[in-house]
Amino acid sequence: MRHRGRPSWPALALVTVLLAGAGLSGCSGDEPAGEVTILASWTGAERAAFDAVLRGFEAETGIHVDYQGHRDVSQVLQAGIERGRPPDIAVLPRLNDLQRYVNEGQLQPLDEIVDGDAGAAAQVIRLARKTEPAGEQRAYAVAVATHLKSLFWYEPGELAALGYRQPPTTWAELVTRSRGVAAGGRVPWCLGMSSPPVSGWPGTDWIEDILLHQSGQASYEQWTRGELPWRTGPVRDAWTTWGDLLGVSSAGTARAGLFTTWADAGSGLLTAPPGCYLDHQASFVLRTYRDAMPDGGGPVDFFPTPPVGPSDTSSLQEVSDDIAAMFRATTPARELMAYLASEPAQRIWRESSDELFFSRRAQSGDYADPVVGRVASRLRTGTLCRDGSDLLPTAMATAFERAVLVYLQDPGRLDALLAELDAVHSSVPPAEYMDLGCEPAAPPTN
Amino acid sequence: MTVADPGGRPSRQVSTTRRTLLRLRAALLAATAVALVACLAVFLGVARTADAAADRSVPAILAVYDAQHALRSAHAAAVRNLADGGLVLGGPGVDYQRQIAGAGQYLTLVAENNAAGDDGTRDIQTVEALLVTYTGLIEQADARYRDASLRALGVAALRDAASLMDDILGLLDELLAKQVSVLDEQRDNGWTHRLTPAVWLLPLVVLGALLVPTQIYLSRRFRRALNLPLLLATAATVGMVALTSLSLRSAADLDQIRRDVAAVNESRQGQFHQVRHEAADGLADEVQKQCPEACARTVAGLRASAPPPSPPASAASTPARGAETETLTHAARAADSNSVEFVLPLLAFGIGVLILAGFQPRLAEYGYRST
Repeated sequence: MRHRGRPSWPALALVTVLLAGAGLSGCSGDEPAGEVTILASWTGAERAAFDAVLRGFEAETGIHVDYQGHRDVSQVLQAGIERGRPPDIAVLPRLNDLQRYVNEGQLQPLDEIVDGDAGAAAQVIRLARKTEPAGEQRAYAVAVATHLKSLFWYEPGELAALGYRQPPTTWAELVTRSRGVAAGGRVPWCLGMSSPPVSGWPGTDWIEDILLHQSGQASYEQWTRGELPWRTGPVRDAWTTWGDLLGVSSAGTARAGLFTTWADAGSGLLTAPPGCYLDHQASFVLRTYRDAMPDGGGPVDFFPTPPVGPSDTSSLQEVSDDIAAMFRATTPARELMAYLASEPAQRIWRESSDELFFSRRAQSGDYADPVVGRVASRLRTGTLCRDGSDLLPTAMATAFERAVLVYLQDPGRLDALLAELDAVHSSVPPAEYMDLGCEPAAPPTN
Repeated sequence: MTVADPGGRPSRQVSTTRRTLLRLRAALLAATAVALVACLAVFLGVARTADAAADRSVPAILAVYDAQHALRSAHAAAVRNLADGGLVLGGPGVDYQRQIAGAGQYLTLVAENNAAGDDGTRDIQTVEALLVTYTGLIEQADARYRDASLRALGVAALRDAASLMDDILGLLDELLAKQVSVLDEQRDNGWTHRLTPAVWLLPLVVLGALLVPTQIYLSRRFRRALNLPLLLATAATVGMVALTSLSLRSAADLDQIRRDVAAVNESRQGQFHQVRHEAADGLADEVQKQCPEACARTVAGLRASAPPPSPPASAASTPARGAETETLTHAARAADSNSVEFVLPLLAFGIGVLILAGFQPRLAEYGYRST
């Protein structure tokens, strides 16, 4: 039988065109080159600033970044790990979480990612696994943002009106000054302890800062490694020094601190009349001041924590870091880690945050706001000591935060609180403590 | 007419009438097949969309509302019971425990029916994680309330819990928006588009348009009053139109469901406002008791965050439940296919058989007759 059908060339051509079209649409430029998930605590303006960094990464690599931001990063991250679905990268607000995840083998090392970038050396955090089998020290995190603590903020005009034109240079002067402010029925200290789910940390910052500037670097590092008792010696001295300073105000002021957020408390500096005159807070509080005075932030200034004891501790500064760690070593995750540590990312971040971004990486010293410039330059000098409660094991840090709140309400319970803190300390395995402490600041490059 | 080839051998050629009959029959069978494919495709497309809306999106949306209400009620109960309770027998109370347990079950329901993909799953997991922190804060508040000298710390923990609850409810709002967005996509997708009926109606019209002239042609050509099988095929075609048009009803039901969800949202918001006001007011009273002078700003902030609802919303729960029941009824109706997906192929098969039966006697009659 002879088949008389002719090939249908138009139909074949149509099919070819359709198939080619389908293939092309599958490879179109709109498709991302991969996806990476990142969990961090930034929301609001901080998130917007970080988003600019992520957009820069997306534009450079074509990789889509899925950002999830929530203030309770630790709990959300832990839940994700337990379900076997951690984010690719998490920005941890507490350093000790890092040690725990290293001990559990949850984190991916970053040596190959960061070793090629000499400028990132000051940002890299190297740790060893402290549980069996013990591991060698490796790069497990990058400090993507750093906050300067050991700062007292004030409104120069308001203090000058009370006769205080120069910042105090000793702790005794600071105590005298706060007494002077309180004498007129004014509130000297902006106290705000509320910061759920970790209320109390502004108080732990106080005690750490006093400990560092009263007993020095060696004692501070011993304490963060879990080698100092709470009940006696330098730690107890730090608590009582803080109590004495706050004692110049009424008990009502301390109690109000329990119900006030640190941001609300800080904005009291800029109200008329001032709600308070001195604010012990980290450099990130500058955002709050700017929000309170949108026309430029107001003439807020700072002075560093003066030496509390006889030793000169003026070169010691407490800092805290936001640290990025990688939980899944996918190619997009590795690329994002490298990018976050890089100079271009930090430059974008600085611009997108109106210069309210600080890093351990050397940056240009030119700042539009001289106060911001002074904060940045202090990160390049002296010795930087990591936030003590960030270094403490979670159980210890949580007990510390709660103890601060109880102490504010009832200072008479100090001995009982410190005894309880010692009891918590004895129940925490030594492997949960960190060996990190103080480091010389990276010198400026220009 | 019989023709002979040039070699003189007789050749049997199909008559013109027979060729016409064969072509008509082929066209009718082809039109039947096309109509079946079009009707079935559209009907199944609409039915699956309605199924997805009824079985996943709507239950997920209602479960999010239920979870929000349970959480708000739990928080209000905790504030009320801790404020009123004694040092020994106090505590956040049975209401709180029951509502928190209920919220957990509703979140499980949301997870089972989640229509928002990985994004939705991640939100649910985040809410569950934050709920652990929230209950921890309530436990902390409870422990502090039991020590009269630390009651202010209990109130502070309660305030922290309230702040975290606001976060949790905000996340649930985002999750709700994602589920509603999926429902909107289901309502507006191609299967429920107003021009989609043309996809199935056109082939059926063509089939009908072929059946009627065929009937006329046969009646004139063969001088018979009526071809019964083709008449029945025409009736069956009308039946297919009627059955497939049920997909229009499902599409309309999806529209109705979307309106129902908006009504549920409205009645739920009134209900939420009432509970939120109760909790915020109770907490503000507690803060004021513990910090009468220095916390005026905090107290004012708490009261301003949840002012009393303008119309008393105590009766709002009944309309909310009524709107939800209606939503579920419409969803069930939209998803009910009435087995049309099985009847349509049977009807099409019947039409095919009737077409064959209608042509068979005429083709037999004109098998080899020349015209």
